[in-house]
Amino acid sequence: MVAAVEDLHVRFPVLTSGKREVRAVDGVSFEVARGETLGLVGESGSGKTTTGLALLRLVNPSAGTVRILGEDVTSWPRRRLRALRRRVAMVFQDPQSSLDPRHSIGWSIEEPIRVHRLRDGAAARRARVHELLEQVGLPADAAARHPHELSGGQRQRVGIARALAGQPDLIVLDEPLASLDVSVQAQVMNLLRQLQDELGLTYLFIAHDLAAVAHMSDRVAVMTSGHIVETGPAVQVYEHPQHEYTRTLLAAIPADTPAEARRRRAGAGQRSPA
Amino acid sequence: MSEPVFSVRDLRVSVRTRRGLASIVNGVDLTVDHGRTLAVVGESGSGKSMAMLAATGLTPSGVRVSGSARLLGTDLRTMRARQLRAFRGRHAGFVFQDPLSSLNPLMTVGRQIGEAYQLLQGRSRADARRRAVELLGQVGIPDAEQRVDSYPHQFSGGMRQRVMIAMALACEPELLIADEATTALDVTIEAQVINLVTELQAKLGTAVIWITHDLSVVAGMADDVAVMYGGRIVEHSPVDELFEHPAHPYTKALLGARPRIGDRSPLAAIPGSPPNPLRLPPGCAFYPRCPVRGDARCATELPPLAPVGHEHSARTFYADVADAVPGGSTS
Repeated sequence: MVAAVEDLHVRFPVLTSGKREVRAVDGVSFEVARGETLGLVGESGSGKTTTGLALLRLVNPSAGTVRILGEDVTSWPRRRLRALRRRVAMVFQDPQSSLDPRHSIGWSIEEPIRVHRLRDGAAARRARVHELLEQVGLPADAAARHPHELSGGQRQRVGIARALAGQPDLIVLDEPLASLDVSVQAQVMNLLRQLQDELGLTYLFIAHDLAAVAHMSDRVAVMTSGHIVETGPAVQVYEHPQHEYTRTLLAAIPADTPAEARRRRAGAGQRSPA
Repeated sequence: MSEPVFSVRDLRVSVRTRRGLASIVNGVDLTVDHGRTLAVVGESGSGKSMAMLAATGLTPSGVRVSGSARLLGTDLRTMRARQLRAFRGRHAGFVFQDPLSSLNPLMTVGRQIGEAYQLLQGRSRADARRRAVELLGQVGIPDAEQRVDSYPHQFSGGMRQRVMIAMALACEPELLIADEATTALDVTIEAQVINLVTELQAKLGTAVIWITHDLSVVAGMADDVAVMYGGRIVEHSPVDELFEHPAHPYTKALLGARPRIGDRSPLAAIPGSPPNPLRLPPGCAFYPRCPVRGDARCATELPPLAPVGHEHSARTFYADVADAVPGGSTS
């Protein structure tokens, strides 16, 4: 297993009201095998992003274990976190705010190579930057540009290149399509799938868009109120949802066509239960 | 035929920026009738929001607008500011994407909902409060009698959007313009809000303009669809016809690029990104990304918005070309 999460809890104190706390993640367990994509789907406030952040220790678990390649990283001291974040990389929702506007694209992609000491010497680092640019489908001259000179889709490609830089064992993709134009989302989905095939990548794909999750994932875990309520192969979860919440979520997906919308209205919005 | 509730003719909007003149809307014509829903679909920069703001006189200063926009037969573009505010307030309601930034945090929702009713219809404060309670009930907020005195931060995102709808409907407007009204909401809440608007529309006969980037929302709720790209309408059609027989290569590509549950083969992605309004191509704005790419004519000459079927028109020289990518009609 690349990642094995067991009974993960993340609690945040509520600053305005004394002793109360929010249980953002409330006992979550799952595994991700090498080369697969686990889709983590849920609505806002379900705890899916917090779960992703906990894998990199960008938030600290309150209880439970996170194993990366068999090692329990929940107890790792701060000085080892850099090593953890080479093994587990993250692609964020909004590439606009996750890239430093003052630095060139080349600098931003080189940063993880420098930080993790992956290449010796400026020339070797530059060569690696160019290799990464090519892998994500950006021209070599993009290295000299700044984030504002790129389109949203191109910026997300830069975010992916940064995540690839350290050859991580797991990439957490947190809503990587949500801030992209509709006509660009398919490009990024194709790129992620192609990179996975070529490089044998392992993904945790976090999103609220059920169709995108179905397209990207081998298995799906449905999250609500800090719990995973259902998990299984994507096709099985979508076609034979077992949990009431999964059914509600699936029934809310907008119909693909006007004809389908009418069929659903005629059936009073109910999909036939499994 | 009676006059449409709202009609826009040859609307153009441009903004002078440090980097040149940005042509955001380049000649848009639209009409929406009593009790009908027109969806205006486009990506960021397509001009869909700016067109509706400009048509109703809500653009900030410094934006150049031309063309006409008639609401119930009156041209909004020639009205004086004070007159326009009163007329618009009485006959048009607006719901925007982010209810938190559209609501006043220091005023109870009841006062905000009742404000226009009180001012524009000359009602008493007590009347306005009663109207607010009634509207909150209509939009499905439980305990409306108590909630009317709550402040915006005491509501969840979905409930706040309901408050916005209640506010928009306070004066029973003939026209409701919803701009990405459900984009920030979760899918389950989105479905509730759309149902709510559809129900209220059936009851009040409101004409609705639903502005969105999301074609799949449109399938379930629109009567007609206008697809915008590069500041122009590139396809206009009844909703069934659009999904079954899309004519413009952009519409076809958008429908074909959507992921489908149960199909994991690579998506028919559209290369490139939407055009920059500072540098619109001279011909068809979609030409640089077009999978059909007929000939040099597309690069230099702007195709007219021409009829391709019953009440269906498209801005392309290649409406009759067999689908370059699979269409969106099978399921």
